[in-house]
Amino acid sequence: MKIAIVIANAYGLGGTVRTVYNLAEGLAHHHEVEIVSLVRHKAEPFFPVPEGVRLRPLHTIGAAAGKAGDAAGDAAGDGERGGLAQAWWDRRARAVVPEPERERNKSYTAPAVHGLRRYLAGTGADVVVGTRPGVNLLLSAWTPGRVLAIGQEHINLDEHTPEVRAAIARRYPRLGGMTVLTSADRTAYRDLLGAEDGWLEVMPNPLPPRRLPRSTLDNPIIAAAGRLSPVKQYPKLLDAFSRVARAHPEWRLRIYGGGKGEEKLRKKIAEKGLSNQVHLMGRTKDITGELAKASLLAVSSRVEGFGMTIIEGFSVGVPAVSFDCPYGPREIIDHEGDGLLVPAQDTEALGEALLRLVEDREARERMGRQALVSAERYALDGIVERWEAFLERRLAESGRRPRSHAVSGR
Amino acid sequence: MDVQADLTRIDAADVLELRVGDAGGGALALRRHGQSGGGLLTVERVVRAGGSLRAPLEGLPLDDGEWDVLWVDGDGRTAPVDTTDPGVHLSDRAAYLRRPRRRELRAVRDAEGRLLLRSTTVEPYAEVDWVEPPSPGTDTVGVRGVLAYAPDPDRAGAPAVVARQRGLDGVVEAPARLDGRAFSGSVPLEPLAARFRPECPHNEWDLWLRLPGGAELRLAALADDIADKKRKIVFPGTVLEGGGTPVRVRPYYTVANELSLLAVADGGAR
Repeated sequence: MKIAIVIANAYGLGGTVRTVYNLAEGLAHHHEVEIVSLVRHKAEPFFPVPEGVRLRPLHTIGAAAGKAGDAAGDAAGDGERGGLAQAWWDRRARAVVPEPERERNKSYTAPAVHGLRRYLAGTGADVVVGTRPGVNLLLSAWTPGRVLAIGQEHINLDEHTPEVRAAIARRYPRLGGMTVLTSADRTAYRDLLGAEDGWLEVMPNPLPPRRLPRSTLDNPIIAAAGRLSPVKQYPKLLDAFSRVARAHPEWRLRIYGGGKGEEKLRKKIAEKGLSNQVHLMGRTKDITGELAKASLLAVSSRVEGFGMTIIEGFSVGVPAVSFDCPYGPREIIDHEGDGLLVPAQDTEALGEALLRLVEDREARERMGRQALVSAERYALDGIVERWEAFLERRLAESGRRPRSHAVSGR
Repeated sequence: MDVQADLTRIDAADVLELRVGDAGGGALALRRHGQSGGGLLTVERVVRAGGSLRAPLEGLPLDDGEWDVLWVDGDGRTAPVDTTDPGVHLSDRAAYLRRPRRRELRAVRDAEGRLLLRSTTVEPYAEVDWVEPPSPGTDTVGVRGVLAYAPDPDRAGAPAVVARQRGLDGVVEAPARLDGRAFSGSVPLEPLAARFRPECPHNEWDLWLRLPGGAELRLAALADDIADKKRKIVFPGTVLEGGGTPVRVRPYYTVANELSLLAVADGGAR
C-alpha cells in the first residue's frame, strides 16, 4: 500500500507528532509511507524523520519562509490575483474547519489548505490518514473517491467544543473509517455517529522498538511527566506527595515537562514547604532514560486522553499510581497488577497509594515486572499489524483495492 | 558479541560492579569517548564473582571527561558494554562522599544504551542535604548536610557557617555544629539585609562551612544526578528591613549547583 499521513505541523515536538512518526516508522517496513505536513515553521523537524519515510511540507511559514517574509507575505508576492486566490481558499477552509479548531491550531493557512486540495487531487496514495479534527474534516470533504480516507483522533470527543463536535457529526460519516485511542472514546464516537464496529477502531499509540533502560526500583524518586498545564493538576500531586514527603523525607518528586504553568507551580512548591523534595526537571529528550531512574510514576490528571507516559514508564519497569480519571489510565493500568488506580480527584487516596508503594518494595518490584509485560501490548510491531489489518478491511469493504507498490530498500 | 549489563554501579572504593550474567572469556578496557581506534586502557585485576564482574578503577589515569567501557574478547576484538541500568544509585552516594578523593567516577548510560564512565576532578566540599528556608516571622536560613571528599574533621575547635558577599567585602558568620561528618547551622539574615547595597540589584552571598582548623568548604548539592539545579529547585524568601529599604532574601542554587543567598530590593528584580 501507499499510505499518506496528514498532520498539521510535522516539524514541532508535540505528542501527536511523536506518535505519528512512530507509526510511520512501523508502517514503512512494508509500505510506502509519506507524511504530509500542512505547514513547516523551521528547516528541520524536531524529531528525525524515520528511515524510508518521505516528509512533504505544503506551506512554509514564519522565519523558515526566508527573507521574502512571513505567511502573509507569501500571497502578497503573487500580486493581486494571489491575494484573491488566498481569500478564496481561506473561505473554502472556513466552510469546512470550524473556528475553534482554527484557533487551536494555526496550520490551516490558505496556501496549506490549497496545497492539501492539490495534493489530494493528484496523490497516488491508496490511503490518507488525518490526525486531528480539522485535517479529518478536510479529508472527508476533499479526498477523491479512489482514495480511502481515515480519520485518526488523538483528542477525546468530550474535549472538543460544540462547534467541532457538530462538524464531526456532519462530516465524519463520509470518511472511510476512523480510529480512536481508547474504548471509552470509541463508545462516545459510536453514540455520536452511529458508526459500525468495523468502521471505528481502537488503535492505541505504539511504543517504538528501542534499547530501553530498566529501573532498578531502588531510588527514592517518584516521577511525573506532562506539560505544566491545569489539566495535569500538579498542585493536587503536590498535596498527595506531601504525605510521602513527611513520612519519608529522603523521597523526591521529579516533574518532567515545560509550559506556561511553571511560575505558578514554582510558587506552590515553595508555599507547601516542598522545596527540598520537589524538582521541576523541565523538558527532556530522553524521557524513558529519566523515568528509569524513578521507582514510581504518579498521574494526577483531570483527564488523560491516552496516557503515553504510563506506557513509557511501564516500558522501563516502573509501576504507575494514577487517578482513575477518564479515559486512558483505567484502560492501561491493571489495578494491583502493574499499578494502582485511586478514585479520581481523591488526593488523599493518591497520597495513600503512593505511600503504600514507597513503603512496600516487594509490591513495587512485583508490579514493575508486570508493567514490563503490559508494555508489550503497545509494541510497535503489534500495533502496525492491527493498522494493516484495519486498512485492508476498510479498503476491501469500500470496494477499493490497493495497488502494489515497490518499497525501496526493504 | 556485545556484553549487556543490567546493573552498573561504582562503590566507594571506585570498584565498578557489572552484573553481566555469563560474559564469556575476555577483559575490560576503557577508551576516551569519541576516539575510535587505539588508546586502550586495560583494567587489571578484574574479579569475576557469580554473574558479576568487579573492576577496580582506583589509580587508573582517567582524565576528566567521558570514557567508553569496552569488552575485549579472547581474539582481541573490542565491543562496547551496553547497560540497562541508568547508573543512578542514590543510596550509594553517602558512602562515596565519605572518602577523601580528588577524582570522582560515575557510571552513566547514554541514550543509546552504552555504558560510559564520567571522570571529574573534585575538591572537598560540604554536600547540602536540606535547606530550611526562612519561614514567615523567622530570619534565618538553616542548612544541613555532610562533608564530602574531605578527611575527618578535627574535634577541637569551633566550626562556623560563613556567608561572603560576592564581589563585595561583606562577611557574616554564625556558629555551626559538627557531628562526625554531619554538619548543620543557621545563617542569620538580618546582618545580610543590613549590608544590602542597592547599587547592585542582585546581592549574592556565597555560603561556606569553616571547619575547626580553618579549612573552608563550599556548600553545594552535587551528589545526585541533577545537573542544573538553578531553575529546578526553588526556595521561598522572606522580606527584612534593611538599611531603610525592605530587602527580600532567598536561598538558591547557582549554575554550579552551589548554595548561595540572593538579596534584592523588595519589589525589584528577583
